[in-house]
Amino acid sequence: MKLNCPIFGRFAGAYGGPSHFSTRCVALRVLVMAAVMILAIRATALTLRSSPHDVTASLQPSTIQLGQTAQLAVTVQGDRVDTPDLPSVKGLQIGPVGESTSMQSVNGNMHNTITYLYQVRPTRQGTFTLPSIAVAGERTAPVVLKVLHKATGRSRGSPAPGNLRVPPPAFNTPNDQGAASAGEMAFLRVLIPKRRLHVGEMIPVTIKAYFRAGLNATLNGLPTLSSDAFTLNKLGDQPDETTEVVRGVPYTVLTWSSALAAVKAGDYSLGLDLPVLVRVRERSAHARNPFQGMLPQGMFNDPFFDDSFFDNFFGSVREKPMTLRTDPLKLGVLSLPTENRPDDFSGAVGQFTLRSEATPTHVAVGDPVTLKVEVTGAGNFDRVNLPGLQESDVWKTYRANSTFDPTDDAGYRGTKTFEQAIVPQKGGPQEVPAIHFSYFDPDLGRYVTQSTKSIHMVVTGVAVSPAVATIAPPSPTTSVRPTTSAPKATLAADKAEAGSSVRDLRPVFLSPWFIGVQGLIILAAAAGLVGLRFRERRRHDPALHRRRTARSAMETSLARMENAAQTGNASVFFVSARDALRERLASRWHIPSTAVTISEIDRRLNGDAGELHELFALADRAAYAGLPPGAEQLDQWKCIVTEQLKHVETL
Amino acid sequence: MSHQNSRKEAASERRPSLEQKIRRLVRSYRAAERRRQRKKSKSTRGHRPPRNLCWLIGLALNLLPLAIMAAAVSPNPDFDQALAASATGHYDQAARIYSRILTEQGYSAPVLYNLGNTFYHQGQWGRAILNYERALWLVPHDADAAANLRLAQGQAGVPVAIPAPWETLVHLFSANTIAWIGSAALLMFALSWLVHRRVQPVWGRGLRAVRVCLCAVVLLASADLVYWWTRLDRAVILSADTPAHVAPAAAADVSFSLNEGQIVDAGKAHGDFRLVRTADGRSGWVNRNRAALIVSE
Repeated sequence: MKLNCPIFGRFAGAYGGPSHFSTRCVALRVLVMAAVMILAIRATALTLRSSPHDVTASLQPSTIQLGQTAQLAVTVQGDRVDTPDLPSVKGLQIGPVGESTSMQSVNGNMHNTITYLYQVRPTRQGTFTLPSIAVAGERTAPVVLKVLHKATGRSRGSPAPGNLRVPPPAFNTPNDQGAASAGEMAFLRVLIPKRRLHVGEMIPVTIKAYFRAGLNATLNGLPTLSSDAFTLNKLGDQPDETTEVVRGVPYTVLTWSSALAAVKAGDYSLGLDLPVLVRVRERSAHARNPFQGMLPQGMFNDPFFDDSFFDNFFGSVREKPMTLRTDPLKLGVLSLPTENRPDDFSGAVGQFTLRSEATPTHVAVGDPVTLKVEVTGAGNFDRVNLPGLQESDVWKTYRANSTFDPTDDAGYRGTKTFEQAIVPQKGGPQEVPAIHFSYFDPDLGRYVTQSTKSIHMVVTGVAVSPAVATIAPPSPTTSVRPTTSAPKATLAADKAEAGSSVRDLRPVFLSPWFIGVQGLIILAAAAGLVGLRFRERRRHDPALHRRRTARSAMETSLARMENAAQTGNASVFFVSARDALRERLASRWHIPSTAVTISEIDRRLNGDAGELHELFALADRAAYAGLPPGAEQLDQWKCIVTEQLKHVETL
Repeated sequence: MSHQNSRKEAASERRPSLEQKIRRLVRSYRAAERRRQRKKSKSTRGHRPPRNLCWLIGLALNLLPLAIMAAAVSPNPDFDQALAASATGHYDQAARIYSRILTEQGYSAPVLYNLGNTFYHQGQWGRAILNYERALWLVPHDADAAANLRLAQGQAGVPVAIPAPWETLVHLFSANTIAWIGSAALLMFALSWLVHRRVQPVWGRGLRAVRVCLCAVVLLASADLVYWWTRLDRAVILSADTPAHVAPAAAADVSFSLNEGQIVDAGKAHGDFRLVRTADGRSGWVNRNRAALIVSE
C-alpha cells in the first residue's frame, strides 16, 4: 500500500509495513495539531509583548489597624515587564511577596495579566499615600492606606476559620530563605503565666498558630485540649491575625485568647491540638517541560515551555490534613485547703472586690427596691454566686438575677452583677444588711471573705401584709377617691361607675381618617395662606392697578355715554365718549389719560386722526361753548364712537 | 372667494359687536353700583356673626353637658353585678363579668381598673398590672390606678418606674384627648387664615397673638403624641419565670427568664412568639400567650 500523504511519507517509511500506518498516522496527526496550537499560543504571546501595557495598583484592605498588614497588588496587563520600582513611604515597610500570571482568551484575543504582590506593614498610625508606581513606562494612580490605632479587642477583620487562607508573609529576603527548615512550615504554641495552680483556678492562656510564608492552609477546627485535667473557655471563631518573624523567618500568626481552668489535683501535661488542611501542589509526572522527550530533539526545547504556566496547567493541588501540636507543658494542680473554708464558699477562685447599692433609698412600704451587688475582678466567674438578701420581717425578697460583663476576650476579667428586688414591709428608718462573699485567693493561698456596707433606707407608711389588704365595699352611687396623691399602702377601692368606653385602645391619632382630616386642615391652611399672599401681591401691583382703574373708568364713561344717548343729552354724550376714548388711548399708549389731548393724538397719528380729532373737538365744544347744529344725531355718533374704539384697538 | 367672504361674515356674526359689549358693560356697571350700595349699608351695621350660628352654638353648648351626664348615669346592670361579686369576695366571677363587659361594650377605664383589682386579690400580679396600665392609658392622671399599679408591681417584685415631673404634666391628658386638642387647635389656626380678610379688621393684633397660641398648642400636642407613640409597643409578662428564647421556637435555647408583671418593649411577632426587649437591653422570643400588649394590636 502506497502512502498518499506527502507529509507522513518519511515516517511511514521509517516505521515499515503498511499494517501499522493507520494508527501511527493518527497519533502523529494529533501531535502535529498540538504543536500547531502551541506555536499559535507562542505567536500570540509574542504579539502581546509589543502591545501597550495597562497598569493598576490596589491596596487590600485600605484601612487596617497598627500591627496588621495590607496587600499591595500592582497589576500589569500585557507582557512580562521588569519588576515595578516601589517608592519608599515613611512609616510603611513594603516587601515583595510574589507574582502571579494569568492568561485569558476572549473572542480569540489573548490577554496576559501579571500581578506583583507586596505586603505593606505600617510602623505607626496615620493616613499614608503611596505615590504612583512606574511600570513599563506607565504609572499607576496613587493609593491611600489608613492605619488605625491597634484595638485591644478582637480583630474584626480576621478571617473565619472555615475558609482561612493564610497569606504569604512579607520580607522574603535571601538571608531568610534557609532560616526555617521544612519541619517549621507551621507550628502551635501555648503561653500561660504560671505552672502551678489550684483546682478551680482560672488563668489566662494565649494560643498561637504559626504558618510560614506562602503556605496555603485552612483551619479545620479550633484548638482543643488533649488532657481532661483542664478546661478551656470557649474560643472565638475569629482569631487575631498578625505577622511575626521567628529566627529571621516571617510567619503569619493566628492568636486565640482564652482562659484555662484546672479540674483536678495532680501533675498533668498540658497539650493542644489544631487540625489544619494544607494545600500541596504536586508537579506533573512529566519533566518540567511537558513535551520534553516526546518529540524530536529541538522541536519543543524552548525555555518558553519551562514557564510556570505549564506547571499550573499540568500540576494538581491536593489538600493534606495535618494536626499541629504544642510541646507538652508540665503543670502542677493543687487542691483547695479544707481548713478555714467559709460556709458560704461557692468555689470562686481569684481576686475579687465587692460593691452594693440600693435604689431608691426613700420609698413607701410595699414599694420595691432594687438591690444591686457587683463583684469585680479576675477569676472563675462561673463559680461566683451570691445568695442575695435573705427574707426577714422587714424585707420581702425575690430571687436575684445575675449578669456577667467581661472586660477581656477570655472571660477571665470582668464584673458580675446581681440584682434582687426587695420590698420593705415596715415603715421608719430601715437598713439593708451587709452581703457577704467568700472566695479563695491563689496568690495569698487562703480564703477571703468580703462584705458590703449596710445601706440606710427611709421607708414611709405603716406596716402592711398583702394577705390582709382589703377592699372597701363599693357604694352604688359614689366612688371612693383618695384624699392625697402620696403613695398608699392599701389597695384603692373599686370604681362605682362604668364610665364611657372606647372600642379600641389604639389611639385615634393612628387612625387613617384622623390623619387624613389633619392633612386636609393643613392643606386648607396652606391654601388660605397662599391665596392671601397672592391677593396682597395683586393689590400692590401698580401696573395691574393702573390697568384696572383705566378699564373701570372706560366702562363708567361708556355706560354714561349710553345713558346720555338714550336720554338725548348730547353734551354728556360727547364728553363721555371722549373720556372713554381717552382711557382706551392712554391704556394703549401707556401714558396717563390726562396726557391724551388733541395735539398728542395728532402728533402720534401724524395728523391722520380724522373722526377721532373731530370727536375730541366736539366734546371740548360741548363742555365749554355748546354743540353746533346737527350734532344731535347721537345714534350716528354712537356708531362713530364704536368704530373709533375699534380703530384704537388696531393702533 | 365668495366662500371666504361668507366665512368672514359668519365669524363677525359670532363675535360680539362693540355695541353689545357696551350694553354688557353697562349692565356690569349697574350691578357693581348695586354691590357698592349694599356694601356701604353693611359697613354701617358692622361685622356680626349670623344670628342662626349663634343659636346653634349656644344650643350645642347647653346640650353637651346634659348628654355627658345622661351617658354617665346610664344604668349598667352587668357592672353593678360585677361590683357586688367583687365586694362579696367572688373575684373569679367578678373578673369574668368585667372581661365580658370589655368584650361587649369596649374598653372603659373604670372597668379595667376594677378588673385589675380583682386580679390583684387573686394574686395574679401580671394581669393586675396589665389592666392598671390599660386603665392608665385611657385616664393617665388616675391616682387610684397609679397607686394600685405600684402596689401590684411591689407584690410582683418588679421595678417601679417613678415618673419624672415632666411626665406628670404629660399624663394630664390621654393620647386621644391630646390628639383632639391638637386637631382643634390646628383647625382654628387654619380657619384664622381662611377668614383672615373678615377677621383681621375687627381683631387686629389680637389675631396674631391667638395664632401664636394656637401654634404653640399644636406643637405641644405633637410632642405629647410622640411621647404616647413611644409607649405603644409595651407588653406585660403574665406568668412567672417566663422563658425568653434565643429563637422563635419552643425548642430553642432559653436566653433568660422574665418575671411576672415585668414590662417589656414588644417587637415583631413570629408564629406563637414575640420578640421582647427588657429595660436593661436584653432581648428574646417569648410565647405570645405569656406577654400581653398593653395597647391592643
